[in-house]
Amino acid sequence: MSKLILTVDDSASMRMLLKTSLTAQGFRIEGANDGVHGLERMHEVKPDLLITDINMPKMDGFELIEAVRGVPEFRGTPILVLSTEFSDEKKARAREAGATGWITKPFDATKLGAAIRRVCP
Amino acid sequence: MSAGDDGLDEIQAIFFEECAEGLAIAEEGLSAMANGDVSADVIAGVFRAVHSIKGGSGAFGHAALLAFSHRFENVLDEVRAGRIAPTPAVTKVMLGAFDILSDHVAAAQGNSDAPADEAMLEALDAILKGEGAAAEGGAADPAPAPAVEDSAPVAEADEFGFVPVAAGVEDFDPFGFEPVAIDLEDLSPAEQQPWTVRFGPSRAALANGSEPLFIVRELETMGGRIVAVDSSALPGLRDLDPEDSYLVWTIELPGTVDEQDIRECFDFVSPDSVIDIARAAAEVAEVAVEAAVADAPPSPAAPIAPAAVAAAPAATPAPRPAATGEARAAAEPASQTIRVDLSKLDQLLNLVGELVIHGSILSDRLSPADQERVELPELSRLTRQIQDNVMSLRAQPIRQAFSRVPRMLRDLMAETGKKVVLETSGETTEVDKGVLEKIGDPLTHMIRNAVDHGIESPEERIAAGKPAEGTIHLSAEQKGARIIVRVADDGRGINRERVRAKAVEKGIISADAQLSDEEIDSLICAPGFSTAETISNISGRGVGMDVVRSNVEALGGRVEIHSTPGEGTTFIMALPLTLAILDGMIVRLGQQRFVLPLTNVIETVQPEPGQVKPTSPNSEVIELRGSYLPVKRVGQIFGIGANDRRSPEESLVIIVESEAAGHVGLMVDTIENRREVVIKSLEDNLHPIRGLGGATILGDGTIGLILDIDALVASTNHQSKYAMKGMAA
Repeated sequence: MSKLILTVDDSASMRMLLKTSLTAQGFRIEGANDGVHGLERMHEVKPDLLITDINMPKMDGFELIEAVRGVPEFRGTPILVLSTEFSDEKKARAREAGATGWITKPFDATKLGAAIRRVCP
Repeated sequence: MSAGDDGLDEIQAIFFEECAEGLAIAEEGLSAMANGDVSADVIAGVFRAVHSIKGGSGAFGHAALLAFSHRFENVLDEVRAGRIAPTPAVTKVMLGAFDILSDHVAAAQGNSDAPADEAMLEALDAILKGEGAAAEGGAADPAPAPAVEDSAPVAEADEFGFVPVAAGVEDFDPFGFEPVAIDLEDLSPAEQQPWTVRFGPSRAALANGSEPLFIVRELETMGGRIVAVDSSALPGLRDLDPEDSYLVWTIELPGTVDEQDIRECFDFVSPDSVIDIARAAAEVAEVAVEAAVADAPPSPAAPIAPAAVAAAPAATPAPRPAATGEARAAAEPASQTIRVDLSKLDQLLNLVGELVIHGSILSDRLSPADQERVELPELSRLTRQIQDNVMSLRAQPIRQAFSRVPRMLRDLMAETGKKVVLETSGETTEVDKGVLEKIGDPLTHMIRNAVDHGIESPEERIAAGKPAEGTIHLSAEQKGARIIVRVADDGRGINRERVRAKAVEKGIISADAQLSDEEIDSLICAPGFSTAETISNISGRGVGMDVVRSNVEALGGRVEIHSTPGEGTTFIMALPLTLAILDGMIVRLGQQRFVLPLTNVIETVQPEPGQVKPTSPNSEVIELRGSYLPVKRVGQIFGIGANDRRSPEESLVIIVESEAAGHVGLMVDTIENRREVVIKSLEDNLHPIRGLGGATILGDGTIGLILDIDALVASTNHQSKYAMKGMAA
């Protein structure tokens, strides 16, 4: 069974872009449009990997990561941040919250695929 | 990527929609900031909007948009973080940056050339340099590569101290590795030196869902081999914490592998891990050469065992928490959306329209008893519900149209030297998407008209005892089945003498025409009346208000003008709430049937003798409970003779509410029915006809013309002639 990835991003075009490029690389994709929705979808779809944006309404990426890590079931689920932000401060915060890795937007589809396989082969 | 260009184009179209939404949010926020609301929420909203535009622009390869939005975002980020104060000066620069950003978005869509943004970039940089030195580093490079992993691990490695590789080899004797001394001079050029990578994941590296095993495997795919494992830190079994990490691997990779590719493997490894990447000979004198390893199968599984243990909880599905079910139930109504092609909605709307018509036909053909027997009323109720639902699918807040205005005003102010403050209200009023798309241009012209012709220069205003800054109030509200959009300025008002003179000169009215003030005002919207030449010294725009009126009327709407000399002018657009279906009262005039929108109808009166009184050859009033209301003979307005000769007692007077004239009586022959009708546009086939809002197919298959009450009430005999001319054309 191919890996199931949950992508959380408030931009529909970004979700669609992720879906298109990652489906082509053999991943299965689910989406959510903010942190609150993302957390709910985590419980529903139990993905192999979570990819989340940082700047989102309602619940941002940091809060989402912390919330996901707070669920014992998801303690070992890899979480990648996909954001246009790239400051060390933000990355450190994401790591502290429990993120596995950080990918800077815009992303190259192939490299993103490689990065995903790095944490979720 | 298997998705074709079509797929990407479609996603890109959505991106541009998001850009439009983002720009609207950003503009609203920046305007609020300009008006003194610098709350964290407002600033965060602007930041997020620009941030999203930047994110997508990179993904879709719009380099100029990406670069600009990035620099803009840097400033916003500093403001958001409180490192730069949102002073009026800073906000002003950001408003300017917003304008350029809008232009960049338009350029990315191919609607225009990329704007010149150098000056604005300098202004943004000046803000960063002046007040927010912290952001300077980020501002220089639009898309820097992730930097943290490059530097942090090195620092950490120093802290951990360098452990000679040879030690690891000795510790791992069972594999038969032998340290071999290599003479530096024997080596091929530096770039061909094999890589030696030391990797010792920290405890944290195991905690965040990372799995070091995967990294080792990835290195193996690049030709890497584990040549040594340092297990010196491994405690006795009793003290072993399965969630901690004790091993440091030494992995050798061919020298042909790119350093960047190796580093990328460690992108996600916690920076407090040991990650040491070096050319073999550069730093280490002793390495395990490849030959020595050849027989030893790289077998990471065994040494990695602690990591596998750490990852195990993730792999084993835990019992599903009881709360999950509830969470799902709560989640679904919250925020799930689906994007649908608008043409599909239109199709649905048309089908619902047909359904409504056929419902009407059925109720016409069935006796009331039969209607009950086949439960037609229930069917009608359901049809009505479907109709309401479909309508709501198309509803959008009018904010989208309003959001273009502030920028336009700024441009106009710069152009004219006038000072205008914009006030808005009712932005959340929802209108049909079709209406929304078409009111942008009329709204633009109305605002432009208000600034060009209405608002006076600051000097003139001060001389007139007004504040130097003019005010334009833009508002929207729903009234019955109409959306009323008002553009009210506090300027000089319409110069009626000049308008009248011009209209005579243009042959729109005769020199001796007796016109009320309202009628003169509405001449501005008459075809062939160019306001630009008449009232304003600003020319070159060339948009007469007649274009506004014809656009709005094509939508089934209406334009009104109210003006008070010296106090200001209000333009009113009355727009249909939806484009498709209305509740109508079917009335008869001679052989012709008309549909009156039921929302306008107040009551119906069967006049007593003497209740309708003539006041002049062309006007009559009806006395109703002690007050007098004007009465219009609908037949006369449309030149349908039968109604002319009827006495009021043989007719019915329907009291309707109009936007302009309040309650007015409309005289018709008789009322036939009340019915939901599907509006079909006349303009597809005919000229716009004043007084008619469209046509519909009635239950028996014949055509009914839908009356536009407000236009009808406003019409005079003069205008009705114009209307009939239009009809003939």
